[in-house]
Amino acid sequence: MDTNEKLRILTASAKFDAACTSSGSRRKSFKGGIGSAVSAGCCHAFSSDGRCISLLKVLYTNYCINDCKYCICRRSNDIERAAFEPKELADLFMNFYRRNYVEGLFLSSGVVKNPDYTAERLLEVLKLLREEYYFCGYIHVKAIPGASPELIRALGLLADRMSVNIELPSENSLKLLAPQKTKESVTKPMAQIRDGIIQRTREIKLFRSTPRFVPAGQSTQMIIGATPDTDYQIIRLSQALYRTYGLKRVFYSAYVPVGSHPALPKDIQPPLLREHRLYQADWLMRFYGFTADEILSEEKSHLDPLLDPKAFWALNHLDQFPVEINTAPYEMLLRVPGIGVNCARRIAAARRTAKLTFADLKKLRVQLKNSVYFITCGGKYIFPSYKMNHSFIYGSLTASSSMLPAITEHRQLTMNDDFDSLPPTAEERVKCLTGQF
Amino acid sequence: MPDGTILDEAAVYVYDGSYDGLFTAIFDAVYSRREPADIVSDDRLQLSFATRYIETATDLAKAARVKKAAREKLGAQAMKRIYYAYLSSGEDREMSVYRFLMLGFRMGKKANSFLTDSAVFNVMSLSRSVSRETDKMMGFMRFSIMEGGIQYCRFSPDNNILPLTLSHFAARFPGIPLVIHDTRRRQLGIYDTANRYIVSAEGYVPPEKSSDEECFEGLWKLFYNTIGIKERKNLKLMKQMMPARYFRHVWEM
Repeated sequence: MDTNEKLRILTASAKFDAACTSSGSRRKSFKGGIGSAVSAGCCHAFSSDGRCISLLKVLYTNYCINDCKYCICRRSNDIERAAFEPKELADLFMNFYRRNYVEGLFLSSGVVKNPDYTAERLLEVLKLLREEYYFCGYIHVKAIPGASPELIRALGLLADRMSVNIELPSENSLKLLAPQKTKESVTKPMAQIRDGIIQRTREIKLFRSTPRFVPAGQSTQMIIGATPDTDYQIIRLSQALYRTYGLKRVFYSAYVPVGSHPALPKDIQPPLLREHRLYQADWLMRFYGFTADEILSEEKSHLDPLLDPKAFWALNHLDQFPVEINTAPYEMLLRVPGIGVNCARRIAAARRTAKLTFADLKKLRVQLKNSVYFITCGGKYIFPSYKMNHSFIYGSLTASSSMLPAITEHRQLTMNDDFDSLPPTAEERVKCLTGQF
Repeated sequence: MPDGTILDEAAVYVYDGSYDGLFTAIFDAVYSRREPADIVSDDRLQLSFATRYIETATDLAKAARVKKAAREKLGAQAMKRIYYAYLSSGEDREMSVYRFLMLGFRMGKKANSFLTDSAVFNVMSLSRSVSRETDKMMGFMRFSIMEGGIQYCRFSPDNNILPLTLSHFAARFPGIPLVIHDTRRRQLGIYDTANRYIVSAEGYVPPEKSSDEECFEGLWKLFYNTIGIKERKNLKLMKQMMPARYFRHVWEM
């Protein structure tokens, strides 16, 4: 079998892994070496499904002794199988890297013979890259569940990021669909990597030359929509993973039907919107200071398809709004729908030198479409305040076209502005049609 | 005035397009004690009637004085932004830099957060567009390995990001000679494994591609076509992430 065939088969088996980020690690090349890594990461192309291609994402082999029902490489699935030679894969990768096709390598594998044997093969590839080709760029490698701690440690010393996939959000689902896997087989290497990272951060304070251990941290992935688990359960689990295992990322992957087990849904479209909403909720927990229980609860256990989770939260906590742009604490600015981390920082910097108006916000590129309902500038809304109730805001946020009045430098809106003489807004037009007026 | 132009007219300063040239022009403008009408590089100059033009000869000592003062007043971060704004293709980049510096000399570091001022905001957004394009291009540029082992890449960015991309790739491939060809500005960025140069590309003919180039281009196309999940196909999202003007660089799609 030639490299062409192998690349095709082993890419097709690796494509369902969502992680393709090259961020979180900074590396410099040395004389005689090749490659570097920037901490922001770098996308090299976007595939036909709109996902970023940053790493050469392949399996070492797709032979597997496990029979996880949701997985395309399960033992009972009748697909083409292949395996790279370590040298072959390293050569192919270096050739891609030199031509700037990719930012690094993502290496995963099916389990051949036993976990230790598989981890040794991965280690062989990484050793070749780091110690013979002097590759100084980004490497993401899977920690094979069940492999011995020494092998995991050896992989961690060569890689930038490691990941162990949880795959299913609850232990029941795991028992049903991945009989060879247990919760413990996933959490054990996770805990080991966490402890390794903690130990290294402690040692670096004492010895400058402490070898790096998984400098870009670890990540995991969950399949969404293959099991009946709720969004609330999922984000609770993510929160626990971030807190107890110090994960850098949890990836969510909408289930694409590849299995025929009776417990798996058949003929479904991948739940892409649900996956998107989960990522939004995930961002709220990591960058915006939200907790899982603020976003969802036992009663309301699924994210709203029409509204993003932050807008949903804000609508249910209107008592905390409006937020005055010129005086509100930074943490509260972050909670306004439509204001992101960069925007909040820009506002916090700009308001030190000048009192901000809506025209200024527009200049600062604050996205007003979703935020105007929750903010005031100099004590004033952009809309008359009597309109500011739940149903008006909900209607506006879910309307397809923007309802913003024009904001210009010259015409400041005042309390006396006669809004009712303005042309009807999109929402009012909808209300006319549905007979709500 | 010896050249006999109208004295009342605010002057347009013309510089040679170099970074030090820009700072020399700013130095001259500041010491003339008159707000300049404009500062432009000589390749963009459009002569008009009744305008006073002052050609500035690049003077490293003058430029160094302005740079030093600016660094002290505004900080290193602002100097990086000014450099990026200078590399941008914004028509008003020089005057924005000039006004930002004037504000900085008056206010000090506080000017950095005076984002409601149009000059400050302009410098920030020009520099943001340059760093954004640089980040994108660092991913979308594709090298070919030529006969003799040189890595060659042709691209045509909106902003003049050749120096930024050249230093990125020179640091990434320290032992490999590189040629980056900006076809829009007809410039070559050359890295000979020791030094980096930027020279005119007039009359440059790149060497032939090496023999196994076609093989790896084919493998990469194969990878690109296989990695997409067809059940999730979303060309709109793909185009949103990778605008059409980059398509000529990313030939695998």
